Amino acid sequence: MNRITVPIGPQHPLLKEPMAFQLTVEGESVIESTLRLGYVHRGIERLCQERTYVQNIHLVERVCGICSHVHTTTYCQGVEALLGLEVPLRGLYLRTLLCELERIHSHLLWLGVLARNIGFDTIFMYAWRDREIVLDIMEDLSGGRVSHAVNVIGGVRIDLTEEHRDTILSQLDLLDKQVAHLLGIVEHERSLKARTQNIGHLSLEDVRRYCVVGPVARASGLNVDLRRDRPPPPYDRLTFTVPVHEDGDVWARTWVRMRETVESVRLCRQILTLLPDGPVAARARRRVPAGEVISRSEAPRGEVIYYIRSDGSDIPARVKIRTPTLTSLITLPTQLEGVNMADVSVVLAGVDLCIACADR
Amino acid sequence: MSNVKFNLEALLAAWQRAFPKLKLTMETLPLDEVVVAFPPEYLVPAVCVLTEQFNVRHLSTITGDDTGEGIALLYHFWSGSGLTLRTRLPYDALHIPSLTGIIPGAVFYEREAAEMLGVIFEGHPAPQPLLMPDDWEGEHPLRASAEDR
Amino acid sequence: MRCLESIAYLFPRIWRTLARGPQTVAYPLSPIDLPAGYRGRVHIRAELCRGCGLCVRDCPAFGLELEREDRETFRLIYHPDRCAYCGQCEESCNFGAIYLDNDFVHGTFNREALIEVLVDRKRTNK
Repeated sequence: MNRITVPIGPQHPLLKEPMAFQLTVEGESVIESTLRLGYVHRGIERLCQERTYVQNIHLVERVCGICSHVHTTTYCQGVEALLGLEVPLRGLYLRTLLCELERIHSHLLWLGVLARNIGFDTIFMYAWRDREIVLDIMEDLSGGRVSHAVNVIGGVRIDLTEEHRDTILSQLDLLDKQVAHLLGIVEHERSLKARTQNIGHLSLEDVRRYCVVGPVARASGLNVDLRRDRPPPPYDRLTFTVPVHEDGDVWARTWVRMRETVESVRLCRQILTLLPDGPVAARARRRVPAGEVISRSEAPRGEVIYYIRSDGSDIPARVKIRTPTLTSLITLPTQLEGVNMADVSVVLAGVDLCIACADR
Repeated sequence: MSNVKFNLEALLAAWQRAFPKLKLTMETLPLDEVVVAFPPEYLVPAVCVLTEQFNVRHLSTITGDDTGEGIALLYHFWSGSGLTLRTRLPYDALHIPSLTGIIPGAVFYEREAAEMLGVIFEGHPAPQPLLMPDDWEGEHPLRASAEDR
Repeated sequence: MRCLESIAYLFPRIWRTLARGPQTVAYPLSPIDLPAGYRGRVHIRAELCRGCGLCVRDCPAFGLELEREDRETFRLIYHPDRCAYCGQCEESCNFGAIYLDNDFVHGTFNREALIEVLVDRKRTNK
């Protein structure tokens, strides 16, 4: 049979962000594939070296639109550790509330994208309509739906009144019902299962070899989650379970992410009920003493790691960012081997790509 | 990735046994991270000890840093808690063996360090640029000497 | 049986969606409901501004400029087109002088509106 090369990208209706695939196809199956990144590379690491620590909070937020808050959280966590600053507990709780809300919004967004890629637009509509509840909560809290700008070095700059808290709790009740319905769809809907099961398989050994993180790793049986394994406060006072599945296909990843969404709603409710009183931020010096720090945290897609080196001034000497999507991208050629052309869109969606994160 | 915390004393002892002439230095960074420094020629054997004897195989990333006194490479690992191996390459000898034979997940990180700082990873299967354009002809972007554009 | 369950789930929702009408707001013909903390355009309480320049230093988008001659004579210039509406200037100001309003930010055809002098202070005594 003839081999044809099918290019997907950099501009393609399947892709939400630009990246270039070259798929070598024989008949209907993909034989091999290559991947090219860098179309959204903005040089953020270099830009960080030319701006002060305070300016960098907002620069780093723009690495990604979907997981913006977790980037600023990890960055501020690192700088606060360099300063030896202790963030007040109320500030940490509010920061975590937004982290979990962002996790819910990211997974619902992703469910819609997967649904579009398998041709089931109704789930896309339902998921994004339910995502509006989360975006409204975040807008009421921070003033922005997507760019929250909530973190400062030393804490957060928002606060909650009692009645605002009760409003959010009632919106979370509504969200609970909707997310439970979506989880039911993932677990029982036959057409979704038929299109996503046994596609894009990754074994546990593959996951360990390629150092994969996040829901993709958890769907292949690797039981790791930084929120539980090295809990920063307040995660050490909250109870939640980490869903793990053994199948390693796209359906397993869908299931893991929906279960994580359910857990995140539970976590938000716990955070709001246990919210302590007190200040929300500590005052931070602008000049950071010389040193290095490695800051990690659990983004919706996995482990985010920041390395920050300071030379004693108010401008960082080096900021290195590694986002979790990069680890999933390494596995894509393995996943795409032997896959039918019609299932390529499912595999690409199953990995939850965020190319803006990967390119920085 | 694994939750099993590595035994730091046993690890340092194993490294000392494997490299008896080496004087190991260890520092602790904030947020509970440990950094151990190695000369460039000992780094890949040290990683071998880590993966074979202690089963620490999750490489989070490889950071390249132009410190002004050479290019520092930091290999960040995670197993229950964070461990980093640091080495420094002099400007006139910017090459180090690639880790991809031991940890295949290092491919992208080494490509990025190569294009951003000009480090050569010997034995890398596909050393093309990862993020920079194919026709980039200027300096390596993260070098201190690179101009602002 | 599953069929009946599905119809029992869908029918009230279909009815509600049809009866409720469009969810969009015909802005600017009808009023818009923005949250209380919405980050709008930058304004100044000029009498409180000391010209310290912290807002200028902290702005991530380089949207503020300070032209200073001496302690009493300075101009604070704002560039709405560079502004990211993040609110860092409001957070940095120790005197409560610069703040963001809570209204929707409009575009403009007028290029002069994109350079706004917030404070133009001159020494009053000789």
